[in-house]
Amino acid sequence: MIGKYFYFRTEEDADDDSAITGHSAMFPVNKLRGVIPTNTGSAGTSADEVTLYFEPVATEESNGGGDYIIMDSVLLNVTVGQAKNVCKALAEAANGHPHSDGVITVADDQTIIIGGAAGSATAEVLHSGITSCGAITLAPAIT
Amino acid sequence: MAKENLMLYFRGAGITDEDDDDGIAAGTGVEDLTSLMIPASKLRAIVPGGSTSTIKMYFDSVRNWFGDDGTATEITTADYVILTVTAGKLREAMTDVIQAINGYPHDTGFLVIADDVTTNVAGNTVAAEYVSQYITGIAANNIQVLGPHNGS
Repeated sequence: MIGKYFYFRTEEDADDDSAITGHSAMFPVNKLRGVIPTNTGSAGTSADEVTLYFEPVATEESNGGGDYIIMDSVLLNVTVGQAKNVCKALAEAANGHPHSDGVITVADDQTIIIGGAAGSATAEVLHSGITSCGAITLAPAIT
Repeated sequence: MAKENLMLYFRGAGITDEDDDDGIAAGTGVEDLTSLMIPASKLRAIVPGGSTSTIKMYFDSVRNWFGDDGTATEITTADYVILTVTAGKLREAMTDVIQAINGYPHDTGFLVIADDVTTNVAGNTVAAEYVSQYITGIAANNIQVLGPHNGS
């Protein structure tokens, strides 16, 4: 196995799965920098989001002049009380199945195929604690 | 030999109830986390944590790659977790962490270094979990992950 990749898609309709930043992405597992559970909407309630940070896709260095580079990220919506289990599932997937094709679908919200009707596809998640794929944030290349 | 993509897990740093695992420790804000999973490959070093009863694990920055060189506050520094350990047992705790990282080649790839939680979301009592008998917890507000640079 050369490398494993995490796949994410937040766009429900395949007709709209087209944006370079935001609709779907496949990141190498070995570019993962960390995973942070949060509940930004309700402090004092266990995490309902898990954010995965990856090394930036579009930019490797800056020539200065006020540029800065942060990690790309993918937010997963999770069931309260399941954040640790989701982390564990991610770790197990990243290290398991040595004879798989290398693609690990973490969250795919697609429910409509190209030209299809609602419900023509079934959303897919790695773990039942993941309720959907949230924002996929890729910083644009520095120009 | 460690798993290829072994992940280390930390939870606590002042909270023991899973209800409070909201990502913001009692300290300040986005830099003081309540839990973190991070690849073992991002570990930079383990050093004493400033006392005879703490160790500090440094990691590559989770959120930042490169700061704005025109802004003094945008230096990209390593993230870290400070663990409390039995006094005088720093080397032993460090050794246990590294042995766990490099052991169990057929395990799942998910390694709990320290989990202070003793009450789960359902309100049931659960056992705290530590990878070493010498680790006693995560120091309050010391799962430290630098907030993202924003150019200011």
